[in-house]
Amino acid sequence: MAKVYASIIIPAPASTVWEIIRDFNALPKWTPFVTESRIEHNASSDKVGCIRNFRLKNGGRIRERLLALSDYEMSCTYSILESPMGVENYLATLRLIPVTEDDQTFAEWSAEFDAAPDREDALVEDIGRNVFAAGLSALKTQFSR
Amino acid sequence: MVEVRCSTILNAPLEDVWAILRDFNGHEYWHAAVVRSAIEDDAEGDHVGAVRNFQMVDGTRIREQLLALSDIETSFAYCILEAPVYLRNYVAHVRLRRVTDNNTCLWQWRASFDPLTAEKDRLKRFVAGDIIAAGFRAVRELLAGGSRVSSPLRFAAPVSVTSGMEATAIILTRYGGPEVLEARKILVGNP
Repeated sequence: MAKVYASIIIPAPASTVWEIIRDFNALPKWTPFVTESRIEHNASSDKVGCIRNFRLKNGGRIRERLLALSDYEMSCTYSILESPMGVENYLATLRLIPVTEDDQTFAEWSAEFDAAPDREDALVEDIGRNVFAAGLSALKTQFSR
Repeated sequence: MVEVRCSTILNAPLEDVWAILRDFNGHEYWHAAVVRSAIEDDAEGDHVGAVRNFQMVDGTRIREQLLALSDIETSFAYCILEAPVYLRNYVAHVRLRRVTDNNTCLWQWRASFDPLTAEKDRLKRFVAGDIIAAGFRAVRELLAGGSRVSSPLRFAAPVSVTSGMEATAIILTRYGGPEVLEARKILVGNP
């Protein structure tokens, strides 16, 4: 099993950042790599079990299922149902933690998945850098003070 | 039950901060509120179940037990066994998380306890300020290269003598690993 992890400090209160993150359908609003997204069956984006169906800028289409959403922990866990990436058992969590001393936010994005052994390292590098780190950086720029 | 949750960012790699925090008896060397601390029964500071018995600056004595220690999660938990302040059922959790964006780390420290209603606000302020915020400050200063303000490392100071033989001593200049050791000339008493 491969693991990916990225984290960042965002200069804004966690409750403010969470307003963006908790919307499972909001990837086009804050990531640089998603062009359009919809929730299947017209479900609400905070309905646990709902499926987001989105398209990447490079053309790929991904379907992901929301498995857990916690307003208390400020975390969101989802799995990949279909993607062009060639990953199996992909489970990811995006979590916010308040930095109480100066009212900022610690944001972390992690995933575990299985892939063909010869592709694992490249996928870890690609997801870690081009998805998680790039996504978190884009999120941070929305709150630059 | 009340819970106090505090967190801060330290401008140091997670490994450097964990090296300071994972020793359950190490607070003697960095926390300004702690004067003297010892692990009971000669246990090590990373022995889960170990009891640290320490004295605060104001003279109060506290015994705390290490409940959990994880090098994977870079976390530990402990509870108070005995304290003169009314911190009943006090359990605290400490955890470090890596900030991959700039190789710093998040330090989370939370504590829960059952106070008397009349004491609730005062004890919450005490835990958040005198214990946790003061601890954040002390480790931040330690990482910045300073030593703790309240008292220098007692074991590090060579015994002062006015006459005797010159010798070379290995002095621990501040809290840390082998890199803080220095060879210095000192005087030792005649045999």
